[in-house]
Amino acid sequence: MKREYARCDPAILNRFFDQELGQEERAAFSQHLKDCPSCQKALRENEHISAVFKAGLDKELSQINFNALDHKVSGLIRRKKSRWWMMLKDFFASRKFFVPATAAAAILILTFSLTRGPASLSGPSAIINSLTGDVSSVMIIETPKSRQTIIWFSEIS
Amino acid sequence: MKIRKIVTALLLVSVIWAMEGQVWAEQKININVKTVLASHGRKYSDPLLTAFINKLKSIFRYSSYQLLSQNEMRLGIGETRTASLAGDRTLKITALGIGETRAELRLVIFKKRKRIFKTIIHLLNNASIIVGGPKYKDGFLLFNIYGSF
Repeated sequence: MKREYARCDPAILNRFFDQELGQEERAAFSQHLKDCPSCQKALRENEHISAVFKAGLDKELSQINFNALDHKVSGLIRRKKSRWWMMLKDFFASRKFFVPATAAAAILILTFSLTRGPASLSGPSAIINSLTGDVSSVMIIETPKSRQTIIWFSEIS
Repeated sequence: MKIRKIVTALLLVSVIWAMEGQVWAEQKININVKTVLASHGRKYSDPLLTAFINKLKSIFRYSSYQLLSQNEMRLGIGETRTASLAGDRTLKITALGIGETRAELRLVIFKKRKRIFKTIIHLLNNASIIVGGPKYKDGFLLFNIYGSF
C-alpha cells in the first residue's frame, strides 16, 4: 500500500534528513516535500546547521596532533602498568622493610651460629658416655692409628 | 645501595642456613650391625667380611672370622630398633640425637630377656664401634655397629 504524508511531521523530517527512512517512506515524504514550503524551509535549516557544525568540527580536528595524543595516552597506560612495580620497589627501599629485614637476618644468623656450635672433625670412632650392666669385666680400648673404639666385656657365667 | 645488597645477601644466607638446619633436624641415621664369630680355630676369613677383615685382623689375634648375621636399620631421633644376635641375644639401638659429626646412640644387649649391657655412645659419622666379649660356641662374639647420617 502506497503511503502518503498529508501533513507536516518534524519527526519524519528529521529521520528523512538523517536518512533513516525506509525506501517506501522516503518516496512518500519526498512527494510531500515537493508540495510543502514549510518542510522545505525546515530541511534547508537543518542542512545549514549541519554544514556549520561539520565545518567547526573539521576545523577543530585539523588542529589536533594525533601522534602526540597517541604518545601521551600510551605513556599514561605504561605509567599505570608500572605503578605496582614502583610501589614494590619503594617498599623494599623503604625503612619499613629495610630495618626489620636486617634485624631478622641478624637474629637468624645468631640463632643458628649459637645452636649449631663448632664442628669437631676427628677423635675416637665412638665416645663412651655411660656404661652399665651385669658383666664381670669391661675394657674400653681405642686403637692407636685408626682410633677404633672397642668395648670388650665378659658376661657373668 | 651497597648496604641494601649486603642485607639481601645476609637474608639469603640466613634463609639457606635455616633450611639446612631444618634438614639437619629431620636427619636419620643408617645403622649396620654385623655379628662376627671370632675364634682360634681353623684359619678362616668369611668372604662376606672382605671390606672389614683387615680392620679386625689389625685389632684382634684370632685366626677365624665368620659373619653370623647382619642387620640394617634406619633410625630417626627417639626411634628404637632391635637386632637379633647369636646365642639368644638381642641388641636394642635407640637414636638419641644426631649432631653435625656424631650421633648419640643407646645400645642395650639382652640375653634371654635379661639386660646384660647398656651403654650410651657418641658415634662418629661413617664410623663404627666394636662391642665384643660374649662367649659363643668355641669363640667370642663381636658386634660391629656402623653408623652413617
